[in-house]
Amino acid sequence: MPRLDQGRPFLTLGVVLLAWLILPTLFKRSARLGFYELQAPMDVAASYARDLQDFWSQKTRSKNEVIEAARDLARLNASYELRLQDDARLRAEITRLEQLLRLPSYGEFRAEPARVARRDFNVWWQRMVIRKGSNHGLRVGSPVIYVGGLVGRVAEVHATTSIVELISSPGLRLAAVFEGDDRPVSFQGGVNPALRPAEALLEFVPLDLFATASAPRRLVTSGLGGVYPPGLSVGEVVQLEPSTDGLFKTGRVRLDPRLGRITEVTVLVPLDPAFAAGESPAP
Amino acid sequence: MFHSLRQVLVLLACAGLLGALVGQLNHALAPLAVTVAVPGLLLSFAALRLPLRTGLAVACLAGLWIDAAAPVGFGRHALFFGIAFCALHQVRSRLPRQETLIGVVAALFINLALFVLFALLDLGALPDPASSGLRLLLELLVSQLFTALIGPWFLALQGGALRLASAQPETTVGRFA
Repeated sequence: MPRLDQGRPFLTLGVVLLAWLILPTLFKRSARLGFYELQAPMDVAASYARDLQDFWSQKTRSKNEVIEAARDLARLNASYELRLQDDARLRAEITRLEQLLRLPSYGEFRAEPARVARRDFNVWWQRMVIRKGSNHGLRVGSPVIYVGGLVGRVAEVHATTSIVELISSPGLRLAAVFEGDDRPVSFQGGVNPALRPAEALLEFVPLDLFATASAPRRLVTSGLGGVYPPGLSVGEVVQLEPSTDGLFKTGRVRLDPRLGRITEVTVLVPLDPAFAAGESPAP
Repeated sequence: MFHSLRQVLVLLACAGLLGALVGQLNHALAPLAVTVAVPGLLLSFAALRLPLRTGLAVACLAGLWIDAAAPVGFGRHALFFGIAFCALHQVRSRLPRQETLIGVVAALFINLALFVLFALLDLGALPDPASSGLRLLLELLVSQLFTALIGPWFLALQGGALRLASAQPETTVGRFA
């Protein structure tokens, strides 16, 4: 009898586990959603509090500093105006060439800027919560970018928040190309040493490509698969060495250190829903 | 019945507060590539001072709370929290469990056990386990320091919150007085 009494905690846990196993999946999904939506307002409120803190710290700036910042912004705006005109010309050229060569066009995206509510970067996963969700038309699988290039993809969409899986996450793989080369290589995140910027692994790199820490090569998205638009910066290849089978090379990619300090991102919401799901684009 | 329910709700609110605080700390630490985790603190009070069923409910629900925001199977943390709770509940009669120091030490041991367990289960799935192993060691160290630092405050917060809600756990002296 005393032995049975000693095992009572584990017996109770076993009963709870059994009850959990026979619970319908629908109940578990609802429970997960409920727990998540209970937490989301805390993250969002903390994020708004940080924004307010930034606002008040900006208010302490002198008028001269504000005038200087406005002047710099005006210069930037002027250069961006020129870039926009150039961009429109290039887009027209691409459309003309696509029609001429009868090539399938790349997917069109709508840009949706969003603030980062919380960063959750640990060894097992690298994710962030952003302050926009299904209410803003975000979809699972949409690519996410920032000033330094590709951030990752939307992994979960909730009512007012979404979860973005970063390219530094072990679970994220994508097809990339070396800048100036059109052969795809396999990219996988997940090397996240402490106190240093994240790194990623490269596989299936052709043998005639070279990169070292002193002469790194830029890695960009290939556009294959239709999820990520081509040409987005992924990182810098700093190491390449022959793989064990000798047919390809494997390597390491140094990711942008700004990835760990991100405060604002842009979600590229595909106008054609098939793109977000990673399917082939509609004709 | 309502007494137990109040205990569960109060301790879950405390767990939510701690989760939010640790989440904000991890947000700030993200550029340094270091994360803090304090699962032991969520469990030690419940395992040392609450009755079995109430404490187990707190442990499992706190686990589900973490599972909801993590890309793992829903129920995984709840299961491991349940096991850790049962292990601590089993030995609590041999400990001076009302002592704050014992609560903090128990939280440190639970942290260590869960860190090792998750590392054993998942480290092989990472693309570069060697560098991840070093980071895990550093994170364990930082987490233990953080747990030792805020442990007394959090245990006092839980006790204070229960007193405020008139849901204090029965002590042995109280029961037989």
